[in-house]
Amino acid sequence: MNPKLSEAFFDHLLSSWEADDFEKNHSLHWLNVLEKECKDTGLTENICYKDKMVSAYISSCVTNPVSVIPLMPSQSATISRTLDSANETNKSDGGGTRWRIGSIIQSNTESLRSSIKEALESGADALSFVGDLVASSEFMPASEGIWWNYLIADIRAWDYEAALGLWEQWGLQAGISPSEIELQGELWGTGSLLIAQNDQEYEESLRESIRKACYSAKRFPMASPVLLSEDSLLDTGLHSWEAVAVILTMAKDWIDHWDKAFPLPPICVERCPGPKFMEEIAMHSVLGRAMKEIGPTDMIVRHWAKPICTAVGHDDGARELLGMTLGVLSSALGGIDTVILPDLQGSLEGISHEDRCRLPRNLQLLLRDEAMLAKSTTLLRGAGTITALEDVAWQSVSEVLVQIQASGGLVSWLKMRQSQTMQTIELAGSSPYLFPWMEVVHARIRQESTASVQGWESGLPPYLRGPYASMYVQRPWTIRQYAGFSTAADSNAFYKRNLAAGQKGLSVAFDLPTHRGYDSDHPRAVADVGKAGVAIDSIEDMKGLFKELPLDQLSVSMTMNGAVVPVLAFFIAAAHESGVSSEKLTGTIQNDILKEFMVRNTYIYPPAYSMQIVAEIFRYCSKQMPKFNSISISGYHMHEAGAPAELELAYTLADGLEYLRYGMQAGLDIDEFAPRLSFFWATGMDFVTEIAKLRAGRLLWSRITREFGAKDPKSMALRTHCQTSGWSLTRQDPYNNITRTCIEALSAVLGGTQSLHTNAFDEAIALPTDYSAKIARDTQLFLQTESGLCRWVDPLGGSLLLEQRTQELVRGALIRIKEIEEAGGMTRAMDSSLPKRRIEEAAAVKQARIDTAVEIIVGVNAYRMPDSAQALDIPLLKVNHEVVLHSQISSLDHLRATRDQDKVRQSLEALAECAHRMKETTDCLAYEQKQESNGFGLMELAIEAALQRATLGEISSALESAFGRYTARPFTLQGVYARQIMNDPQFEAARLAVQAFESSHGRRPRILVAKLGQDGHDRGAKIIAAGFADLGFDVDLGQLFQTPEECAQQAVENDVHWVGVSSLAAGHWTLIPALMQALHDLKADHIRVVLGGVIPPEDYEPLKQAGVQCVFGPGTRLSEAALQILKA
Amino acid sequence: MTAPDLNVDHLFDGLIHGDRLSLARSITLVESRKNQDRIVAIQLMTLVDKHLQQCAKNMPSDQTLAGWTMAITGPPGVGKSTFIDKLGVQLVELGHRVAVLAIDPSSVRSGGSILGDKTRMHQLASRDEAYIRPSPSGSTHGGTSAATKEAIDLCLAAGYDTVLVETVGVGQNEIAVSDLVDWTLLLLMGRSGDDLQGIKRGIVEAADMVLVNKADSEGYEPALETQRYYQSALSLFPPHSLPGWKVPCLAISSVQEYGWENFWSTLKDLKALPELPDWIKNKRANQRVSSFQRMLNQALLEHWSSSQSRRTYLDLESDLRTGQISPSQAVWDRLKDWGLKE
Ligand SMILES: Nc1nc2c(ncn2[C@@H]2O[C@H](COP(=O)(O)OP(=O)(O)O)[C@@H](O)[C@H]2O)c(=O)[nH]1
Ligand SMILES: [Mg+2]
Repeated sequence: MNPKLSEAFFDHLLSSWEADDFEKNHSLHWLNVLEKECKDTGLTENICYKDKMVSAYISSCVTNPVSVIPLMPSQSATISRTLDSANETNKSDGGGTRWRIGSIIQSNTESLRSSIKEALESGADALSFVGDLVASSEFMPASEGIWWNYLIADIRAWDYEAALGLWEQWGLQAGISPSEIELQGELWGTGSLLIAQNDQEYEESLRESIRKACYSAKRFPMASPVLLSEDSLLDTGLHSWEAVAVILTMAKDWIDHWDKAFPLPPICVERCPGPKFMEEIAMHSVLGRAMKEIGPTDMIVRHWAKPICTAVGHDDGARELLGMTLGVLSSALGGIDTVILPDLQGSLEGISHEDRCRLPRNLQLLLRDEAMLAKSTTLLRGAGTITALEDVAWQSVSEVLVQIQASGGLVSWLKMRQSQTMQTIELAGSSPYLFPWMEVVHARIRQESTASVQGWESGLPPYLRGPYASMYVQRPWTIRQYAGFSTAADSNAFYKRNLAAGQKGLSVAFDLPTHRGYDSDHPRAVADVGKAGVAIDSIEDMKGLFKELPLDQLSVSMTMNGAVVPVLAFFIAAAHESGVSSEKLTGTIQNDILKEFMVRNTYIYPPAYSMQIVAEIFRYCSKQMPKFNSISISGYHMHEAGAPAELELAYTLADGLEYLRYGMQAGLDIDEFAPRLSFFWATGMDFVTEIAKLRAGRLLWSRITREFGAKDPKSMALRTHCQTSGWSLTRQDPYNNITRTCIEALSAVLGGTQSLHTNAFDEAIALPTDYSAKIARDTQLFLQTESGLCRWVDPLGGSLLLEQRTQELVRGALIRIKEIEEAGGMTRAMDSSLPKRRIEEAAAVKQARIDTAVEIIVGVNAYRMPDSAQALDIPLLKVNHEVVLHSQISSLDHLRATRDQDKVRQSLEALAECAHRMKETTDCLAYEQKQESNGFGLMELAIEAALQRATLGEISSALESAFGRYTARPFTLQGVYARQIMNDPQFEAARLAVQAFESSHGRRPRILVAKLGQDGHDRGAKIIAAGFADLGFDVDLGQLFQTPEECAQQAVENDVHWVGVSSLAAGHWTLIPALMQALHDLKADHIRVVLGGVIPPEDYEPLKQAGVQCVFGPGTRLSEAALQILKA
Repeated sequence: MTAPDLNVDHLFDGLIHGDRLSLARSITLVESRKNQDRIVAIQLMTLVDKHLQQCAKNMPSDQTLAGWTMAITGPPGVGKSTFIDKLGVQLVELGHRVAVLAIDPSSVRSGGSILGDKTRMHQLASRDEAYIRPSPSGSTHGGTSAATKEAIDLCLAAGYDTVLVETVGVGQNEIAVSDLVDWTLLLLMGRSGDDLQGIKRGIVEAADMVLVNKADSEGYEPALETQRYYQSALSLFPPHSLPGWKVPCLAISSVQEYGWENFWSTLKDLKALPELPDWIKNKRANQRVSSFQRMLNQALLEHWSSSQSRRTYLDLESDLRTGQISPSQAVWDRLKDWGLKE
């Protein structure tokens, strides 16, 4: 039997979007599932899940819509449940709004002019001045070529009338009429309230201010004298629902007292959100909507936010950036129109004053342009959780409004409130929550279903809303940082430090030779030993790696695909020797060979045999390691190779399908092994899409496994690990990467991941240091402890935008899955390279879009660091390669000298013999035929060999003797890049330079694009090859995994002008000199070497000294690179 | 960047002693479109030609097949490179030294090209007895085909006794590759019945041997069907110019063993044909003449269209297009200009 997805299956999913009977029936049992989960984890007291409370709350919502205590009698009694009104106040821009990015400018400094200029050039569109602008200089915006008629100038603490006079004068010179001047002053505001001794004084200040304001209101209709900020209120110890109530009351007072003979000037309300993501969104929206209700319809409300990012006693700049990120994000989604970020206060290694001003601005740009939030500010429309939270927020606010009214006036209320401070805080249970009634909502982890998610519940098929019913409420996602470098001992020490600092699971990164089945002393391995991960040659290394770590308690994930047999064998054998039997082991082995052939290239054997090995491992794990995930089906590497979300989903799930088939053909029952399959997604910068991707993946997988005959709901649940995108990180302005990673991590969390790796900000430059690794880990701890996100299940579920995107992805992916199914499944589809081609095409298109700045990458193709800026001085990790290599080789020598050679030989022979048997069966058995369910015993034999101290290289060669080593056939697409970039001037310039070269040299420039060593990441190399060909170069392609000598030989035979080496794995210091030497030996010094990839900046000069013509970092435009190498 | 001097004597010396760098640079030289390079190239080719004549003379007469050159043609993706990889390794194992000239089509738009064939011949590439040189077809400028002939000779002079040329075959403006080599192999792929009719007769006619590739796994059945079709179609073609030779059509796999025994035995039959040596000698002699004609054609045209009179050339092109002048008249005028005709 060869299960296939039927035509009907596709048709049904493509045409309907609703729960089927199976799913509807299941979702009726949601409370039971929840209860069981809570009991299983033994955390019952942590959650008020009890049905009575849940249903009581739900019914109270339904039967008595939250009523508003009549503050403004004429206004409606309920707040409408949609966010429409709040959002419509903003200028709409295709489904979203572009908030203004505010920057703070110190007026009374020497550098006033330059800081204004810099702020404007680097993306600010609102300036907030601190200090006295007039006193500081004779600054004339018009004469500086700056005019902010499109800007909001915020001069809050400064004399409003004097400022208007000055602005008018400047405006006249620049030909701008006073009516266009957008100014934000603080003639009256929350400050006025706080200095008032009693209610009379408050009222006097109100009348006095209005009198003054009326003067200018006609002349300056866009200037606002009123600034009602939470800022000073929170300082007095008020909670934010109280501050909002005060602001609303003040606004109402202002409007009621306003002299109707004059036009009402704009009113600015300003919130200071903290990191509580959902609650702050709700509060923003409540304030925005209430403001709409209290004034005349044509009143202009400026809705600002100034996030609070520094915590008392905190000097951590990274933490501050994270706080800012969440603050801006909740503001953008909560309908704020201007977000003002202060300069960065806390410490970050090596940053200058300019960096402190620039980083917060960049952060907003990243959110707006890279995470594409400007297009997604309506994200919350329809999200049930937010709607519920808004109710609670409003209820909290309105209760305070009643208190204020009852106490006779604001000042009286404040006095009373201050005398009760202690008591109130106790009342709120000093809870970290934003609203007093949070406990109730907390219990209500089941959100009312909106139409688009009707009949689907978390923890039940199709798991759209999460694989578990209680999700993070019970247990947050696992912080699982992928790490490993140099020797087992070094990595072991690093792991221990991380575990001590709050990390939960381990994830081992192996070095490239280990991936490719070479011992560290293999001649092809030298350059890569211990570089991109830890070198593991034998069971001894594996024991060293986990020394003093409790393998029976610790979940260990291992990224291993090619050399999966020896590595898993070492792991099991090492555990065995330390007294832990295999059924106790928990964790994951990646074991996803299909994507290696598609994108990552760390395979060893040909596809058909590799798939047999995968099935062997399924068999072994399902029998011997019941708690261990036998595969992690990975979309990550496709994403990183340039696959858009649809393709990542489609091909990963199609891989999953293929594994299901192989497992079933190996005689396993689907419910026996499907629950042990896990997934692995990347989360990139496209915020909404990435959340949708995780949800779409779960829905699809659930339906697919059911179609394949799964009965157990556990088989249908897609559990996943996520990693933030390494590709999205930039070498330029590396601290921007903290924000990128935070945004990406957030989408993984909002999408419901089970574990998460966050990248270190220096990933695009070097291996992470302890410092950068800490920031990466802290990002997750921050999200778990401070964002409050763990209290919600699928918090954005029901959002119209999100559900729509989810559906789009489901459909888009289905079409691609169908294509693969029609080709006979992934193994066969790969023969035609169809999936590979689609991914590469997408990557080339993306590159062109980036090179032409259609897609913005902050600091790379837009908002670049000023050239004058000092390069950041960040400490980078350097592995002493010689030492690592030497130590690996000497332990190998020792191992070989001390083991029982005969036994080793016997065990390897048995292994080889078994591999031959497998090969024969694979070759002659038709694909469809079912094998015996007891398999071949390959793993058992490998474990025996491991115990006998056979090395990784020996075990893989034993298998290689039967299966052979696979060599990929590279191919590249031409024309894709050129089509995208056609009219770009620099592209044309490079084309002309190529033509000039051709006429003077008698042939086109010819370059060999090579990858050296065991690094298989060839996205960069392929894009360069395709792009250069499109520019008119003749491009030779090097074979993957070439040695420097082979590469030099090819360069000479093909007589190229340049060898362009793409390096991502830190091997350049060994490989490049070797290449130059090899060229020299072949008398080919005239062939120049250029280098691109992840190269630490301080290596540039020495490399050039060593004779490298040019070094290009990530983010270099292809045309620019071409021009540079042609110039020399 | 300063490349080493292209000194003819050095190059030639290196070449005939089998130095790869010299061979590589020599091929670059003959492919170059620069005038100075052309002058050096002519000197070099003169030496090479003499050298090759010499070798042929020293060869016992039954060995005329030494220096056998073969074109592998066929549409992109049929498996030419893969086939050559496998064939080449077998030839090397039989004691041959094998050179491969792989001609990749260039992009029409940019003129650039990705020369990927060599990476598809990695087994052969790793052999010391083999030299593989991918070249851009340069179809936008024409002219590479002339250079291809010279490159073949360079390989022969460098001691490679078998030269294989991979090319998609006849393009519109290019010289039929069969005019440059001793023997032309056409690779096709299995197709289903309907598609079969569509294959151009002309393409098949230029072949001395037809192979239907990918006769393995799913491709096996279609390959055999296609092979049977051509077998019968070929029998209706006019007889081959080599007496006793009927163009065969075989099914083969470039990734498995199927068909290779048959392939080698067919080649053996071919070499056993008594007329073969003369046929080849004759063919090569004719090719020398046609080479001259081609080069002259091209040289004249290139000279005239790229020299100082480029403007007039473009004017003339447009006159031709718009019908202001007839082609025959235009040629006549040129000849008169050059003083070749009254
Ligand atoms: N199954 C099978 N695939 C082949 C065979 N020969 C070539 N291929 C595949 O066909 C594709 C194109 O081969 P290639 O040699 O690059 O074709 P070329 O463009 O004609 O040089 C590659 O994916 C090869 O793996 C064969 O005999 N059998
Ligand atoms: Mg080819």
